[in-house]
Formats: sequence, structure tokens, C-alpha cells
Amino acid sequence: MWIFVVPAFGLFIGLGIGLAVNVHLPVQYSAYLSVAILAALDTVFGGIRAMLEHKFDERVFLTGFFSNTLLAALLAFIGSWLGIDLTLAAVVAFGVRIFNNLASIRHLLLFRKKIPFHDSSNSC
Amino acid sequence: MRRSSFIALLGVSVTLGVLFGLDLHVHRTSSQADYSSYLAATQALDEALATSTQLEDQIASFSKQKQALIEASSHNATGKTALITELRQQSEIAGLTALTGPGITVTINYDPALPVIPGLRYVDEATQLQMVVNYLDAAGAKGIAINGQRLVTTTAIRSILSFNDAPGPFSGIVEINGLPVQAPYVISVVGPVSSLVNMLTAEGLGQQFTILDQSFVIHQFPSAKGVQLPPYDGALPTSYAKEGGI
Repeated sequence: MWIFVVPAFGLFIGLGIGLAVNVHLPVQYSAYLSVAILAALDTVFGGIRAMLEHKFDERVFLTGFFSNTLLAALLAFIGSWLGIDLTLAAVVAFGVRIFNNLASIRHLLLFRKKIPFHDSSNSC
Repeated sequence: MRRSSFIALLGVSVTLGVLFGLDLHVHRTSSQADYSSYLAATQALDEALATSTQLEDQIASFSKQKQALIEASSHNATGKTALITELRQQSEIAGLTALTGPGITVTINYDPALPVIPGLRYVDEATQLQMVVNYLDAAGAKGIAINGQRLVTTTAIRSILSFNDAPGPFSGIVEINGLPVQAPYVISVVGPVSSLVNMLTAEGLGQQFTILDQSFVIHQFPSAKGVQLPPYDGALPTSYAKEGGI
């Protein structure tokens, strides 16, 4: 239960802070921020899944969160700089990971067991 | 759940929420159009420029049409005035309007005082009148009428061989514009007086008609309102297509 309540609570707190703070990012950086959010979501779902599997590790989780987020934003920036839409690559990659994590979470919640075809040892 | 795990998960969630909040901030304060990349924005800009050029061309075309419609609809429009002037000129040339100006009259009538020449009893009157008209046209006549019948381009001068009581060789009836005309024939002409008189004199028409027992008298009217010709009021052989009613 706490596995879902804590992230939801933190999400609302952060959303309030983000809306309240008087920081206006330029529009051209919006795409990088969106990709970073996608990467962060992937990390959060991976963390939830690792907790359900009793394999959660704070160091892997935190490093995965920041590295994925920054790398996704950097990838989008480099793609824009080179004239290649690399944002789509990040969206596809993180999208697939998010759906895999969601599928694993669903199976773990329903049957209390791992999906046999997916290795969750490095999901964060 | 361990305390460190709890803090890590809470911290990451809060960070993610902040990112969401900033993203919402961007979308809320930016314009409606949002482009995911520089390429998409460049493509959208090119499309907008192309569309703008097309719209400018359309605006210019519509402005021209509007100007043309305004000119056509105004009462003192240049095009309309020109058309009315041309219509008036064409009507004058065609003989559809009355004509007044300097000119002459030629009166042809039987003169019993003239000597009778045997063998010339039956002369085609229409041919003689047509000959005079041709000479007058060649002399620059602007308008001609015979006994009040205005001659137009489609006018036919025909002899009707029905003898009447009129003495002399011109004893028939001439039909002009489909209407009978009898002697004496008064040919009214508007045009350059001197040219008309010189033409008739040089061709010796007076002597020709004298041989036919006909007097050929020319009167000159050089004033501006010397001769008045009536308009042609007969039927026109052609008609123009008109816009049909809806």
C-alpha cells in the first residue's frame, strides 16, 4: 500500500511546488523537459516494480533516476542540434520500458510472481 | 519499507512532480503552437510562409476584383461612360437617332415644261434614286432621308410597278423601308454642303433627270440646324441576345 501512496503523495507535493515556483522555462526547452519527465516516470515505475520484487536498492534507483533524466534531455538536445529528431528514439525506448514495468507490476500484484520472460534484476 | 527507501522514493516523486509542474508552467504560458523539435518548427514556419504568400496573392486578386466591381457599379464610371458614348455614336451612325446639321435637299419631280423624249416612258425610279443616294454617300453624307424615310444600312429602295395617276416617266411607286413613297421625292441630306453640291453637279445628275422630264433642284442649308432628319423607326433585321430573367 505504501508503495503507491508515497509516490502519489510526493508527486502532488512536487506538482504544487512546480506550479507555485516562479520559474518560466523557455518554450524551446519544453521538448527536453517532456523527455526528461518520461525518463523519470520510467525510473519511478521501475522502482515500484523492484520494491514489489523485494529487490529495491536506493543507489540504483537514485542514480538511474538522475542519469536517465539527464541523458534523455541531453539526447533530445543533441538531436535538435544535429537536426535529427532523437526525441522520438527516447520516447519509444522509455515508452516500451514503462509498459513492461507496468505489466510486471500488474502481474506481481495479481499473482505475486514475476513475469517469466522478463528479467527484472536491472529494471531501475 | 526501509527508511532510506522511503526517502529515496519520496524525493524522486517530488522531483518528478516538480518537473511536471514546470512543464505545465511552460505549456500554460507559451503560445498555442508547440513544436517538438527545431525541424518541426522550421517545417511549420516554411508552411506558414508559403500559406502567407498564397493568401497575399488571393488578397491582391480580390482587391482587383473589388476595384473593378466598384468602377462598374458607380454612375460616373469610366467604362460605363465610354460604353454609353459608343452606343450613342453607333446609334447616330446607324440612323436610329434624329440628326440635325448643315446639308442640302434635292427635290425630284415631274416637270411638264421639259421636253418629252420618246422611248423613256418607263424608267426604274428606284435605280435613279439609289444612284443619287450613292453619290451623296460618296460625298460624305452623314445622314439621308427620302420623303421623311431615314435611310439606314439595311434600307432597300424598291420600285413597285403599279401605275398611278401621276404623269410623266416616274409613274410608279417607290418603296423605302417597306413603306410606299411617291413623287415628288425630296432627298434630305446632312453633311458637308459644298462637297455634296459639287458631287451632284460634277456628275451631271441634273441633266440626266432633265432628260427624264424630271426637275432636279438643289437647296443648300449651311446653318447648324439647316436640315433635320428623323430617326429610323422601322424594324431592325437583327436582334441582340439579352440576359434572360431568372
